[in-house]
Amino acid sequence: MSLAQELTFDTYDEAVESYLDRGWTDGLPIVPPTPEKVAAFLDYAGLSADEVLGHVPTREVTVNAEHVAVNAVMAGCKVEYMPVVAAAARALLEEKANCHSTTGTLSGAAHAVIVNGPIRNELDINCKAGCFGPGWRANATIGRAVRLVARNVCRAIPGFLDRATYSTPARYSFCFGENEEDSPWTPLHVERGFAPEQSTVTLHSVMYMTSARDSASRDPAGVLDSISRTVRAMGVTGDRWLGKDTNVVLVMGMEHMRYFAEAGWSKKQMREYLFPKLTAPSGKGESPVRLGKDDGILIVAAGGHGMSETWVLHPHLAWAITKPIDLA
Amino acid sequence: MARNGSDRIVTLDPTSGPLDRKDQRKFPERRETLDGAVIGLIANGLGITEKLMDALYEELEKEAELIGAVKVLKSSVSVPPEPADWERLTSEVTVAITGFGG
Repeated sequence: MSLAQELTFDTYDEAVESYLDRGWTDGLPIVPPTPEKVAAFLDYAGLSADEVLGHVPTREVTVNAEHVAVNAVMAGCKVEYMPVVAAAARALLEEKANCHSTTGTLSGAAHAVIVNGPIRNELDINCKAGCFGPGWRANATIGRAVRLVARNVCRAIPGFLDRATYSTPARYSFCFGENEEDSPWTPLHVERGFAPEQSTVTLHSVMYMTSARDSASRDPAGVLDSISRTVRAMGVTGDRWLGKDTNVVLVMGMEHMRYFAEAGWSKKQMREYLFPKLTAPSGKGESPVRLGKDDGILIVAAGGHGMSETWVLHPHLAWAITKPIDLA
Repeated sequence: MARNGSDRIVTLDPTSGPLDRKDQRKFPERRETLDGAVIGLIANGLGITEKLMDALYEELEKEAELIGAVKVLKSSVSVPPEPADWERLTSEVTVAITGFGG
């Protein structure tokens, strides 16, 4: 028995057009969420329709599992993706993920869904070349589902509670995995306290994305100095409420990563090198980097060969949240 | 594809409810004058909002006989004022001014 109101249509196309007309999509067509499909998604994830995944108190919104399943179907997810989407929704609804502010802000922040653990390979979540872009159903639809939940359930509707001045294409979908197989480092989720075999989602708000491109440096210090300059140009935001819980995500590609592998640098060593450089008082042309602690620097191995760059995901006012992906 | 008895497609509403939910709270009546008013100034913690609110109060003082101000500096745009600040705002203030954005 569904909790949501049922609608009826004469044809598939009529249903798709109606959802577009009602403002229930991101502007792209959706898969009609039939009660049978939604029930299958819930069953796969071992969730009951009324299981509460979280709240947005300022909007007087409670998000239940059925809300998330309906939007996951609409996004084009396979049933196997539902546990990932549910974990990401739980992360979005954690207090310090700051759903209200990150989805309402004038800055148009997006959310990166970063997947770790065995489920990346089981679902074919791209972690390598092209992982920020189109072409992989899991990346595309999991990220889209999270955004549809923000829009339809959490009411982050452009012009209503989404007040973005420009918004960003990353709000259509932004999901990728960590390339654990080619990485010399401890995976993100293990650094954050999970077992290697536990699949997880880390949700990080993204106000800006900038590329620290450096094809000249041939050693870890040189690469990290370039990254530091890039981070300091745009800064890292924070406030009294977040306190020390601020972070920045560095997505390091293969060309930069190999210098660290060759030199035997761990993520911990990288953070220890970067933290004082990042948090030194800002100068002309720089913005404050309000990182409260060095483990606020999250390093993720992802991307392909060729371009010597590391992408910096500057946060909005939120702490990146990692949640386990619960498989029924 | 789910179809009912007349072969129509059945789907589910993806929202958490209508946007125009009835709200029992009402706006207070607009005051004719600020003479005799205590002004609440709620700065959201971004940039120089505290200075902005102070400057705004100075301008209002030129226009009306104000009794005073209750100033609140929130710790973030993301959170409401602290309970103690709410108490002061609701018990002492005649008119409150705030803003949003960042």
